[in-house]
Amino acid sequence: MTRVWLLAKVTLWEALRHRVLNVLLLFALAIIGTANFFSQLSFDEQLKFVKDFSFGAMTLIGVLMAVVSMAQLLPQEVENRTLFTILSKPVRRWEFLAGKCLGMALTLLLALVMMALVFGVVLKLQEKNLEQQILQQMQETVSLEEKAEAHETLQKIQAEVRDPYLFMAFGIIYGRWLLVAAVALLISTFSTSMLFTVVMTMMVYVIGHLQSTAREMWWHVSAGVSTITKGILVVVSLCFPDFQMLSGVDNIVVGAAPSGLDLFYILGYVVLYVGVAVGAACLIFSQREW
Amino acid sequence: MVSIQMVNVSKRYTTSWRGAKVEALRDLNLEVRAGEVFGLLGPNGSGKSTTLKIILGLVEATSGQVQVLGSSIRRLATRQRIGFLPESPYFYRFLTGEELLYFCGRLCGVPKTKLSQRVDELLVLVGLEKGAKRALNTYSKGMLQRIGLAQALVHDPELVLLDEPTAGVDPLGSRDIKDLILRLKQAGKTVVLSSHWLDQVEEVCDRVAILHEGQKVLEGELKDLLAIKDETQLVVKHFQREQESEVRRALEQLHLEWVESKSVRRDLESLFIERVSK
Repeated sequence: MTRVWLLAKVTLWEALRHRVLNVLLLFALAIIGTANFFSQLSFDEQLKFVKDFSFGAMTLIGVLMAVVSMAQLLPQEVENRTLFTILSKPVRRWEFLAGKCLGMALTLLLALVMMALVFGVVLKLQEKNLEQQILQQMQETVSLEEKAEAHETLQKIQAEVRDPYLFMAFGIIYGRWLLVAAVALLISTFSTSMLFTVVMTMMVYVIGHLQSTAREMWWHVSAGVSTITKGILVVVSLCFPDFQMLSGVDNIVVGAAPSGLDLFYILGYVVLYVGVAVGAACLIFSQREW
Repeated sequence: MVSIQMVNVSKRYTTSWRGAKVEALRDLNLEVRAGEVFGLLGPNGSGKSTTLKIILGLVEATSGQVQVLGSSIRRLATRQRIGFLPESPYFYRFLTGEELLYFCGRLCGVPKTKLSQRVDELLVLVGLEKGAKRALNTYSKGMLQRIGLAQALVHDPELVLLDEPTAGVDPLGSRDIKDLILRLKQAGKTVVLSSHWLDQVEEVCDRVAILHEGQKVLEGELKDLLAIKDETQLVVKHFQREQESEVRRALEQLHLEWVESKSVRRDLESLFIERVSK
C-alpha cells in the first residue's frame, strides 16, 4: 500500500500544480457572475437558480476535468518515460495504476471541496442580499398580511440555504465524476491517442444517459426487434454506466431529494462500476507493452 | 556467476491491427557476468532498447528464456536488486532533485531511517548537492542525467542498467559518469551500458555485444576484440624523422616488420577536461 500511496501523492501533487486552481477560478467566476443576474425571479427561485446553475457547472467542469486528466494520465507517463522509470522499480503494474487512480480521485475530491466552498460562500452572500431586500420591504410595508408573507419568504430562503441535502448533491456529483474518470481510464489502457480516449469517453457519457432506456427496452420489448438491435441493447445495458441514475441532483434542487436507500443504491452502483472498470483497466494494463 | 542470461530470445511486435509484425530481436543469446561492465552496442533500431526492456520486464519476449539475477524479472524481489536509468530521463518535473530521490527510495522499499543518509550520499556522488532543492524543470540535460543515475542507485542495486548514460552531458559530466561506472564496478556491481559513444564504451566496458537488425553479430572481451594480436605499439620520445631508417634496420635485425610511424596525439576530450577543470 505504501507504493500505491506514494504514487497517489505524486499524482495529486502534479494535478494541484496544473488543473485544480484554474478550474476552480473558472467555476467561481461562472457562479458568482450569474448569481445576481436573475433578480426578476422570486426570492426563493433566485436561490434555486443559483443552486441549479452551480450544480450544472460543477458537473460539467468536473466531468471535463475527469476525462481530460484521465485521458492524458498514461500517454503522458509513456511520453515522458516516467512509466519506464517507475515500472523498472519493484512496483506492480496494478499498483502503478491504482496509485494513479487514487491520486486522481483525491484530486477530484479536492476540486469538489473547493467548488463546494465557493458555492457555499456565494449562496450565503446571496442569502444575505435577499434578506436585506426582504427586511427593507418589511420596514416599508404597514400591512400585517404582507409582513407575514415576507417573514415566510425569509424562512423559505433560510431553508433553501441550510438544506442538508446539498451535501447529498455533492456526493452524487462526485460519483458522476468518478464514473466518467473510470471509463476514461479503462479506454486509455487500450487507446493509442489521448484524443481517441476523450472522444470515446464522451460518447460513453452521452450513451450512458440512455442506458436505463436501453435496459428497459431489453427487458420489456422482445417482439419485432432485430437481433442486431437486441445485441446493441444488451451491450449498452451491460457495459455502459447508467448516468441517468445520477440525475438526483436536479431533484434535490426542487426539494425532492432521493431517500437514504436510493443514495445507498447509487453510491453502491458507483463503487461497483468503478471497481470493475479499474480492475479491467489493470488487467489490460498488465498486458501492455511500449 | 551470471547476472543476466538470455537464451534464444526473440521479440516480434505487432505493428498494425491487421497483425503485421516486426521482428525486433532474433534468437538472441546473451550472458552478462556478475561484477562486469557490459556494453550493448548497435545502431538505431538494432534491438538494444528492446533487449533492455525485456531484461527489465517492460516487454515480454515472444520466445526464449530470460533470467535476471538467477530469477524471473516478474518477481518484485528481482526488481528490488536492479537499478535503471532510461534514455533521456524525464522524471516528475515538479519534484526537486532531493524529493525525487526520496520518492524513488521509498518506492524501492528503502527504510525511512536509512533514506536520508543515502540521499545525501548520492547527491554528493553525482555532484548535485547545490541543485538538490531545485525543481527538476530547472535542471539542465546533464543534471537530469546525473539525478537519473542517482535514482537508479538509491536502493543500492546489484545490477545497474544504463541506457545512453552520457547522452546530452558535457565532457566533464561525461567523465564523471564514466568514473562513477568504474566505481560501481569496483564496488562489485554489474553494469549494463547501452551507448552510441564507442570511445566511452571502450574506456569502461569489460565485454561488449554488438547488435545489428535484431541479431547479435559480435560478443566478447573488449581487450581481445580490439587487440591486433601480432602488432605492438611503441611510443618513443624525441624521435626524429631522419632516424627512421636506422630504426627500420634495427627492427630487421630482430626479424620484426616496421608497420608505420605517426605522431602521438592527445584526444580532444582530455584537452577539454584539462582546460575547463583548471
